[in-house]
Amino acid sequence: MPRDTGPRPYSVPLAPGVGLKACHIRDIEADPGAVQFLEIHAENYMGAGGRPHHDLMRLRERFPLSLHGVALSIGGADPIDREHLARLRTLRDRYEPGLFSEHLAWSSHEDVYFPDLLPVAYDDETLDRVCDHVDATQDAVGMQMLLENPSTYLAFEHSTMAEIDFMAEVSRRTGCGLLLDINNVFVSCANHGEDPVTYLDAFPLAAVGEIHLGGHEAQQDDVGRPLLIDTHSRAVIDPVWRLYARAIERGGPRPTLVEWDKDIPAWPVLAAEAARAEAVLTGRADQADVV
Amino acid sequence: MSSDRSDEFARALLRPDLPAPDGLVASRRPSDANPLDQRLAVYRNTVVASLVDTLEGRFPITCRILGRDFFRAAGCAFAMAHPPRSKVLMAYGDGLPAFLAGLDQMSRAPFVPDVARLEAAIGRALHAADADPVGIAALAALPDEALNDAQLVLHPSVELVASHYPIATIRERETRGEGGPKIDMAQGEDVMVLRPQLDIVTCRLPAGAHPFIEALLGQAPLARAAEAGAAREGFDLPANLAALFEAGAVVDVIPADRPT
Repeated sequence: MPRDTGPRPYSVPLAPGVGLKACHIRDIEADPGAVQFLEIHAENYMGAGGRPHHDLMRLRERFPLSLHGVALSIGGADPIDREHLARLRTLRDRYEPGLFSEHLAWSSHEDVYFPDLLPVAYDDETLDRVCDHVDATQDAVGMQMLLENPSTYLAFEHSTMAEIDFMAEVSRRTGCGLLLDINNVFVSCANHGEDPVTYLDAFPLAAVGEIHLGGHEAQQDDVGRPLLIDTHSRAVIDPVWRLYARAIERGGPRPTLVEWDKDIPAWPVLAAEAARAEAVLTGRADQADVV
Repeated sequence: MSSDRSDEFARALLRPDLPAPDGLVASRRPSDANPLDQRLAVYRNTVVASLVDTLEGRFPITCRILGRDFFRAAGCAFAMAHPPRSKVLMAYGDGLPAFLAGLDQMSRAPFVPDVARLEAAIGRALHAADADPVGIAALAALPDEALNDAQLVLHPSVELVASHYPIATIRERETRGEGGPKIDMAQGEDVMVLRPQLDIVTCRLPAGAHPFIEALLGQAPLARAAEAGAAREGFDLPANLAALFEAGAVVDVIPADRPT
């Protein structure tokens, strides 16, 4: 069983963390700055051996870990992938993460894996299935999972409920927590012509076990409307920092991850993002820091 | 989403020529007139670009030799024809060398699919199980009469790649990015790939080593593996054994009377 005592830190603190990238390992070991936990994409550690495990084992002795799956396809029409659940369980046993999360999305269909987080319809049929899949996941992995709100570019005609109501109901029925990705809130609301502040204020913050921040790319579609794409390829923009400060003010501090997965910057750039999150979390950020 | 709807969505992801599936709208606002195809294209692009990025990460030298534009176009065609069946993408692309070999353009660079086979083997070795190599003392410790039936257990990362082209030399040259004396393209190379600790090692194999190591991988006892090697002219058993242990390729020596 995971433990809270002993040399290996288990609980993820109400503090900043970063998504672990191999190119930053030396820097993190030399000076992690504000970073107090690391998050890994589970699928990158599903090989049998080699350097990824070697490095992560060493880092794990020093930092609590958040295990973030990107491929489970919890929203998929297919039955949940038991083999993949077993792989997640192996990682959980090996690394004892303090947090475990996955996405409200699908990514597999009839054995083909699509490496993206594809959108689901918010209706009763999908709700039942997602709840079944979350139950199976929590049973197999042996810990609570956090379900992350997606970035979406499309919607379904036959959706009958709002995304937030859908997520709150999954959390209520399964006991899973929620992962609030504030960049995803901003991206999806822009793409759907909705107000992110209204979305954020309606989000059940009490169920939130972790917050994600990240960068996106802004385009326009052919009719001149904003089309924001969740690329994790740049710095968090100021409006997302403002939404984050609002979430912390309303809900209290949460473990907060800065994601940067493409066009990965030198460590000081990412460390500065983590420091900015820390300033918000500790209430040291005045409006000028955040805005 | 129902199964039928995901059938349609999944098909549309890898077929940009298909129209957007029924039941999708560009946004949650009913009156919104945002172009649906453009929204769907975000998903299509992400899926294919992620796969091509994965291939580029796994086949960097193949990409450098072919040129990035050509490699990504070929990778895109491969991804659409052979999307992954596993959620673990580090294993994606095992079929790329054979796919490249089937392209007409390869007649001008026939060595490239073999370089890709070498990179595919390296990718597998990177994530193979860990094991600690043993020194040749483990073999020397056996009494002479036990040698013939002893079995050498090779590191889980060991793979063999044989080619009519000098694939290891080409890869090294391209990795360093330097010029050098002209490579004799007629000089084929048999290569052993392994990862004895954290780093990949590639060894150019001498005469007979390929069938010898192949037999060891098939769990043949030492004498039978040596026979396989000796079928090639110039096979030198002591030298091969020394090189194998030196490379860190052996993780256990099992005497015939010890159950495996």
